[in-house]
Amino acid sequence: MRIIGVAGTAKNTGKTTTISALLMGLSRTPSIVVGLTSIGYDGEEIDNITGLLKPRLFLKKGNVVATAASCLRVGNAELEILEQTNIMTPLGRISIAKVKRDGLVVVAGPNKSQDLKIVIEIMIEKAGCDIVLVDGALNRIVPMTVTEGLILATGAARNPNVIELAEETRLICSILDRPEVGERYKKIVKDLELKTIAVINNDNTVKVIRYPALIHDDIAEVLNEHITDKACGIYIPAAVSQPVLNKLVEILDNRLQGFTIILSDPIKLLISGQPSKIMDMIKKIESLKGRIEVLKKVPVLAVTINPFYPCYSFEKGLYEPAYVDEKFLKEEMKKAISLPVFDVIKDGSESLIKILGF
Amino acid sequence: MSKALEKVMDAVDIETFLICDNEEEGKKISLQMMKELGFKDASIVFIQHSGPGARVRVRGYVYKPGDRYNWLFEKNN
Amino acid sequence: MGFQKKKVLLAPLDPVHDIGLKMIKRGLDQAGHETILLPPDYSPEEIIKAAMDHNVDVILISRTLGYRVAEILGSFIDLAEASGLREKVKIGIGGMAIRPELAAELGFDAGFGPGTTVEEAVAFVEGREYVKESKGKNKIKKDMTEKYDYTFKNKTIEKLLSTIADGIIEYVKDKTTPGIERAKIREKMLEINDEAELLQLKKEYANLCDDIVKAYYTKGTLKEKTRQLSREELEALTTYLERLKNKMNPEYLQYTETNPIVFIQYGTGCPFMDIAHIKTCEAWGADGVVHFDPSWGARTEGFYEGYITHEEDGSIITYENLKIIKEALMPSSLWQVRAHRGLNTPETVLLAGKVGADLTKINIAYGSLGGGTDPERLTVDAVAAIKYAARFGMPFDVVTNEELCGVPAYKAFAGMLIVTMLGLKLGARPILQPLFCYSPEVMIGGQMSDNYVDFNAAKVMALRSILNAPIWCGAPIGFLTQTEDRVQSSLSTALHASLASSLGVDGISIASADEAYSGGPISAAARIDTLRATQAAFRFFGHTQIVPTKNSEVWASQIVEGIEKTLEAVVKNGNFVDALYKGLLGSREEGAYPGRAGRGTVKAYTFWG
Repeated sequence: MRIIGVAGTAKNTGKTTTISALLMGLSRTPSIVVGLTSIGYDGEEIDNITGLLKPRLFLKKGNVVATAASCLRVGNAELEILEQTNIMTPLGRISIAKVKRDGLVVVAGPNKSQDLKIVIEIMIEKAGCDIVLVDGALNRIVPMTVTEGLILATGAARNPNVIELAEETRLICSILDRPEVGERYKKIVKDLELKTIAVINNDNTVKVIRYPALIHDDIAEVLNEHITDKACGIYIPAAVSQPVLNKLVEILDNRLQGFTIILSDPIKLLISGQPSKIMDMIKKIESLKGRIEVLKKVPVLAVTINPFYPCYSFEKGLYEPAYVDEKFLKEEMKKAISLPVFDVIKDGSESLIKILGF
Repeated sequence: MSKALEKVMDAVDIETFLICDNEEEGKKISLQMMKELGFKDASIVFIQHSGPGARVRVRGYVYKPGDRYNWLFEKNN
Repeated sequence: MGFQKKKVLLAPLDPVHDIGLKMIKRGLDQAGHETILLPPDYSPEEIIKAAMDHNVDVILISRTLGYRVAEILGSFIDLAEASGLREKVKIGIGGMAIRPELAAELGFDAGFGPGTTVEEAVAFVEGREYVKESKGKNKIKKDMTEKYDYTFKNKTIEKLLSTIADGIIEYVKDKTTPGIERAKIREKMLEINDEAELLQLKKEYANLCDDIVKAYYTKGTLKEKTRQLSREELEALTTYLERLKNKMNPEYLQYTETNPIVFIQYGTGCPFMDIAHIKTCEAWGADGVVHFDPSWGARTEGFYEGYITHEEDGSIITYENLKIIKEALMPSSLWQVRAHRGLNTPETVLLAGKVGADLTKINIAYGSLGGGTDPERLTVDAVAAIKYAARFGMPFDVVTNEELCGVPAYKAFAGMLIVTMLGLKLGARPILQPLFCYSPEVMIGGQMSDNYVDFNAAKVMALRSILNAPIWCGAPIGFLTQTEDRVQSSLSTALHASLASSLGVDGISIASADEAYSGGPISAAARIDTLRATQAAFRFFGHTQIVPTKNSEVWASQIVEGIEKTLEAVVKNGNFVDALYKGLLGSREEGAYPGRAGRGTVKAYTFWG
């Protein structure tokens, strides 16, 4: 697996710590050329929002980084620019650079899927990366559809209630594990180059509407007008909103039997609303004998957990570091999900690296 | 010297309001305060007493002209 | 409009409308773009649907930041991207806490934080790479004398001045001083490469110096509390300045084109600390800097050589010290090296010119009546100094600090005008420097008992009625009105700056907020205080005029009358130097004492061969 994303469920859930652990682990095999980029901004000493200390990323000589112009000179790693792209970010144009001397880097990479795709391609094809790590940003996850596998970083910063956190993580993993749709539908989407929402009929004809995303009740209404008796599926290429999807489910009701709702990837579903509500809706669709599936899966490889959370002190008017019981957190998480669970600070990086196949 | 103080170009001014009966007492407290904060070379730039206390600006020099300024030698200045 | 018309959706992701968003809307409308401003409190889904429905090119979101808001914005961007919007729609975020790093973290295409201009947002919409209009970076060095032709409106005064100046030139014709001779030797030293010849010149130079300086040339020793800077220190300075170069994005103090250029004064004793302060002041908008040398330097014959620091006020003049300071300056910064008093006046102007200073300062009357230099010596030296200034094309100001001793303004002005006329006759470009101060004259006379405006205005009006010449108010403005309180001190400076601006002067010198504090060196922070205050005052007044009372006109004409009377007395006396000794341009009773440094050192030319 060559393109690995690390996505967080919130700020301070340990994305950067996880990336650091991966970098550390991979550096034990010097022949591997590691590429690093970020869909946000990472590597500063102090968190942009809470003002607490954050780790910075350390790269070894020979590795590759894709970062914005104004970050190139900030760290102490010596960098040699291999290629300047035309991709602009708030921190300047993205460059792909090789590390000439070990050191810390500040990474602010492309922040949207289309740009990320271009950058990763350059890193692999031109800069010779064997693996590219994509650091997440905040709770943002959509650009991660470009990756081949995800490591999910969650922890007390998302919710200090460990029971609730474990349950939510279970739901997230389950949502991301939606099955891929059959070849028939894949072919229709591909052949017709569907870019907006489409109703697919028994006879393989389609009816498209002008919206790509199902995010508003009005769009559900528009869509409903095109759903006839011969409809057997709906393809939604862009975002969905769980409440709107729910409304569609209500409209379709019994017609859902044998009906397939197709999303482009499970991330679209994950960002549609609260995980528990999404799961309720999936159950409802399934209970009506309908299906909700995806064109392309984004496999979750592992979950990393972080007991840290910033706790706001009203007396002092600032955020202070706080921790939940890490043993309890790990136990609950392991009970909830079938994926490997790591506390990278405690467990080190070896087992995590193994999962990547290195 | 602390790492942070090395970054001071020349002087640290502390501005506050001290509860005291007169300017003389305010001066004493000011200099005592600077001593407690670890400033060896402190002086009062401004003090004005009225009613409940004194408005004061006390200065502690970290570097004076002709000293060796650590910020000048800091690699990441 | 040079750019394609864009459709822009402006959406507050807040319960209330953001004023910044409305300002940007206005800017975009004016630039010919189509804008749609959504009501507050729309959900992310509603905003995205609106963007789709209107088929917009750009979305601008505003949002106040707080905990968890980052996640909300992150979700918004995720939703926008998942909705397929980002392939063709650019999304920007604005708000109080938004910085570029945060915008990158949040995944937006641009971030507009505090201080964002409407122009910046318009550039983003139009897809232009925004080059921050750092007026500072394009700062141009100004010549204060440029628009003045030095014609006299007051012909009586012109005639009197001409007579006196001719007398001075005649008087010094066959006279020389150790100061003049040293300057000649120094110039040769700077131009030759031959070691043996250089050694010989150094010997000659040393022979014309006081013992304390001679000791340096013969034994290599420096006076107490001074030392040579180490190689390590010099290398560190080079690195420091190299790194700093990229970080400089200076403020602009002037708000209108009529605001004067602003000088600060430095002289901490250490060239490095001077440079650190200069760079700080440049960053905060100072247009020019004035070099202060130590007071003992003025009483000592001869200059040291090399990179020298010392632990007292005033920074030692050497060719090398001046050179490192010059190299540290931004190209736009005006740089003045003062030579208005002391025994090294000609050599100071020579070194300033050689190193590339923009301005110097020469005044015989002040230097000999308030600056401690013998009147005859300074008269002879000043003519030589003015000739150097003319040769190097360096305008010089004629300061009137004898006012601070108690000399009435009109007498100080008479002295200033004499040196001005002398400068004009010798081909130089003098600048008038009246003081904006609370002088002993007005303390006694009561001209400032009601306000600080009238008398200062009267001075400028008087000078304007005499001749068409540049005016640079000094030095520093508001002298003796400032207290140790930095708020009062900065405010007073800012108000005097505004008055100077209202009077249309060309330049001002401002103090730091430490002006009245004498317990230690001026701090960098205190410099920023007055620069910021001046900037705020210029912004406040804009083109507004400060209107003095009728008193100013009355006092202005009294000053002109006084100048005339004084000049008549000098002409009647016959010899300018003698007039200085006699107190015609400021008497002992008024606090002016003819200086003694260098007395008896003026010789006939032939003496030196």
